[in-house]
Amino acid sequence: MKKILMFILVFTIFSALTSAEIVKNGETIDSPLGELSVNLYNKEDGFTASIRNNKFRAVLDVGECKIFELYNVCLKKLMIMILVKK
Amino acid sequence: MLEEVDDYDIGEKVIQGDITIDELIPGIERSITETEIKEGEEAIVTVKLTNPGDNLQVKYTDPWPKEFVIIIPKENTKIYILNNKVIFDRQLFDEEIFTYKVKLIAPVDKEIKATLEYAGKKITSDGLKVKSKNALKISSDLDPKDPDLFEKTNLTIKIKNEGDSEAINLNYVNIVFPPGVEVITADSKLTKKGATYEYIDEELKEDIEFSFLVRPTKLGLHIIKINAEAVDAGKTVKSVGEEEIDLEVKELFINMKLSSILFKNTGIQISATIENKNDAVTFKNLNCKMEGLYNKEYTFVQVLPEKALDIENTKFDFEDSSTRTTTQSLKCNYETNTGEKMSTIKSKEILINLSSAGEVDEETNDESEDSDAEVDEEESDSEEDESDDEQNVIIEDDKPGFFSRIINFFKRIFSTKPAFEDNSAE
Repeated sequence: MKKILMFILVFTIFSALTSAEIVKNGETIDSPLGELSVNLYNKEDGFTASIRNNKFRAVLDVGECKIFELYNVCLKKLMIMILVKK
Repeated sequence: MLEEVDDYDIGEKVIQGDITIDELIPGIERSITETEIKEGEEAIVTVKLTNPGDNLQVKYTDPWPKEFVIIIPKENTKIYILNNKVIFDRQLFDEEIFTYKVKLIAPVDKEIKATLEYAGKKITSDGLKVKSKNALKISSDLDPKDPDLFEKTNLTIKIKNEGDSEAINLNYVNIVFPPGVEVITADSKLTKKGATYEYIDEELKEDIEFSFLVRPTKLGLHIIKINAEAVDAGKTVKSVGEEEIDLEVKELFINMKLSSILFKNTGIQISATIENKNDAVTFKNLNCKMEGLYNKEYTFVQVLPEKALDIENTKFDFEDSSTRTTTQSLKCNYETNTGEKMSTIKSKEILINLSSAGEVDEETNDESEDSDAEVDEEESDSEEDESDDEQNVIIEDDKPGFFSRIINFFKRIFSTKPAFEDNSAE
């Protein structure tokens, strides 16, 4: 059976910033603040992200930001990707 | 209640977060009440430091040249003076605004920049341009402001007494015209010495004005220089002024149309136009040469006015059918009506691939999509070109464009059964 992966972006996909990191649940990102681990959660009214390491900790809804030292950490958007078998 | 999102497998939803981490940069804004200060006078400097991040240890250094004496308000203990520098060295919360005074003690014309050091980094502010106010002020004006070649324009030069004394003794005023500017009429108050007009020895109470009618006779940048000297309360003051006439010549505009990819070697369409985009400059002794796949020389006896001229629109064949990249160029040599020699060349890279012609004809859209995209890109380079009906590149007219393809892609997805149903069915 031929498999085709199709990416369906339910939320906005365009205009990603160069400084943006696309992460999946449980992944980490390298940042000027050090390695940050990211956990994504379902909420009743949407999604939220927990971004943290030993010196920074934030729980952000989509569109929310937190300033830490001279850095602005934002959860710009969430995307749902569906992998389809054919 | 929060529920951690599922891990990802084929057929499952995968949630991805787009996280940005932007560095915030503190800001420095400075202003001064006067940018031209008389000696002995003061100006107030206002500084605003902003910190968009959390509290930050900063060191702001604002160095002033020795021509200034800094006076800081006694009540402000946050800033101090060290070696003629204003320093703010402490924690910066959201923002900090402070003012201080500078007193001019000697003539100056400088740009003063401040720095802000924080977290091992250093940023520099925009410069504050400050100069001493001269007792003798020179101003000049052209009407019309930007004359064309040989167009007459009125030049007015004003000398003002801006000193403390009611009258100052004007030693001289010199107005020097460059060779590219012809003086048609000069002010009768002036005496002419070569290209220089002089005004000597006069007590200046009010403004004095000189009028000229001039015209530029050459292309390029022409600077009319004005020098004046006066004695104000026993002190000699000098002042310099300049008026510029900039006659920039736009080179000949060449537009050459030829497909970027050729799949055949007969009936190739080539066209070319040339255009003079200047208002007052005309081009003469125009000689052009096509080189590359199509070779031809053109000699024009006419003077090229501002309108575009079609110089080629033909079909040609070429012999060498090997697959290669080659260059087609059109070079024109010409002279301006003022005798300046100029040259313009327009080149275009052409890919010759005769072997793929049949395949492309027979294959479906996908194979030719990329080459079409390339052609579109190349064509758009040659300015607002209208679509070329006689392109040699094989273009399937009914093929969807980029956005149509995206829409079709989504239509295809949504017209099939939903992904989850597919998976569950299996």
